[in-house]
Amino acid sequence: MSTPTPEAESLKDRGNELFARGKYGAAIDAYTNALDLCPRWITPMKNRALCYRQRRDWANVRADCERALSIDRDDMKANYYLGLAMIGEGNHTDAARQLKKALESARTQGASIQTEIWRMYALAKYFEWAALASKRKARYDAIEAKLAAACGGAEGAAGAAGAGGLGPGDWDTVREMLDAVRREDDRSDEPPDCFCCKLTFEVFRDPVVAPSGHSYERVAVMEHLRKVGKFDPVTREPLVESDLRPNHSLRNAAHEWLNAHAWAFADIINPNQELAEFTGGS
Amino acid sequence: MSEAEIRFRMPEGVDIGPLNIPLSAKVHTVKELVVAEWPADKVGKPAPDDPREVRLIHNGKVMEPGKTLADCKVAVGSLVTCHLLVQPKPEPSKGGAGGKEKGGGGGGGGSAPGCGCVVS
Amino acid sequence: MASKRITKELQDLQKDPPTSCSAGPRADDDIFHWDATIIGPADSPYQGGLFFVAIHFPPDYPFKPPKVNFKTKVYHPNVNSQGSICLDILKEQWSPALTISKVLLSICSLLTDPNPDDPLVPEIAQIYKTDPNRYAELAKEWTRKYAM
Repeated sequence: MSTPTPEAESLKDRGNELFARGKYGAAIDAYTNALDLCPRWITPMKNRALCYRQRRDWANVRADCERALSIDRDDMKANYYLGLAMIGEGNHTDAARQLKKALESARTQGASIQTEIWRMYALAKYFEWAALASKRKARYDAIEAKLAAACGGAEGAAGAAGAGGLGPGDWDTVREMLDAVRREDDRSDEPPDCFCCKLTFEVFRDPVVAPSGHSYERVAVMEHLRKVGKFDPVTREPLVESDLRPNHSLRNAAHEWLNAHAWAFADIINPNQELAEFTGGS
Repeated sequence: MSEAEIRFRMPEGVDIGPLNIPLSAKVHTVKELVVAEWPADKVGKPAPDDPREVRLIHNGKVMEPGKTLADCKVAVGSLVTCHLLVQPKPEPSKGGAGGKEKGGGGGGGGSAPGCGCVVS
Repeated sequence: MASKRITKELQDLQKDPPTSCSAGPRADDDIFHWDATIIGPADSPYQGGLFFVAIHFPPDYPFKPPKVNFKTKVYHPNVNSQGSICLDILKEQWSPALTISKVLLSICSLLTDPNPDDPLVPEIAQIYKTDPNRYAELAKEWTRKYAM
């Protein structure tokens, strides 16, 4: 990272002003000029990425973020915008990885941007799952058809023992096995209550535990303490912010559950509505 | 696809169904169906003679007899619960309706209605 | 957070509602205004009645309590002629860990067990305390008249 010259500084400020007025093209020019003077100053890079984001020019968002990350690989915003660019380009697996990095940086910085990043992470994870699940389904359907044929047809035409010694009597067993495997992508089960905050009703992102033993989503219980009162929402015991401790075990368990049931990320965001923001379509 | 799976929940804590009913069915038809399926042994009282005494409630609204389930916005695809209440035609002289209740005036001092289940 | 949380409460209610309460949004495009019904509790003078209730969720729900009003006339020490309900959890005892389902159940309990020491209608509270039979009679009469 380099210290900006006053001239570069004023170019960046002008870029910010133009950005605020929605003049993204002019802002891009101002940031570009600042970068010509200070090529290793990452702030104008990230700001320029933000301009490209407004235009849904994901290739340029990615280029600026990758450049910034080559200078500071832990930069939270550069990781975040890169993740967004990857969602925009339909690369959800890499996007999820990038956003997770951003989330970790945001956590150590205690930034309020966490919620936003978490939602985008959920979006990427959901579409990563959706793509895998649809491929899986196609493969299972193909195998099912072959096995049905091998068993002499799903109707079980008596007598006709097929290839590999499978016969009509095997179809029920085969079917049972297939159903068990398919259940992995079954979306009918709900997130377990123990992984859900009693205030947000969502799976925990960053739970904190109160002296009562009850855990709450951090941002929600903070809002409660600020707006409702200084008491535990469930037990009504007195409660202040300094009583709260991060609940790492619960967080890890909840996130592990989410990863194993990635369809449940749709519980946190409305995937198709959010994705429309990236494609500009309705 | 145009059938709803409906469970009818009664204040006595008994459920009827779930029954599969076409969305095009009128509410009064549904009432007849419910009366036909009435689990008298579980409810502890017989089905009403007149299906019109049954009131069906869905999403906080009374389902009007002339409407179809679709009109009442009953959803397909997942199990739907309707509440069911029997409201006998007002015949105050007959004792049937209040039979379970503890008489009109008998209790004296402590007879204020305070013995129900308390939910915290 | 509000609309998200209200949507989830709705899902939970639809999945497994209490035996005595039903609730849902008034219109498809507005999740903040609900209609609800409460079935008059057995062993209370409200038995057999069907009571309509309007629910309004504030924009910062659940950090503010929902506004809940009776639409059906009720003869009760804690419900006035406007349908306003005097119930601690709808005011200073609200907690975001409560849900609309719990609120409706509490209103059911209030019907069974009035709280005459914190009345909204002192005259009814007075009758409830001094002449419980008369109170029950009047409550039954109103139930027959307005809730059946």
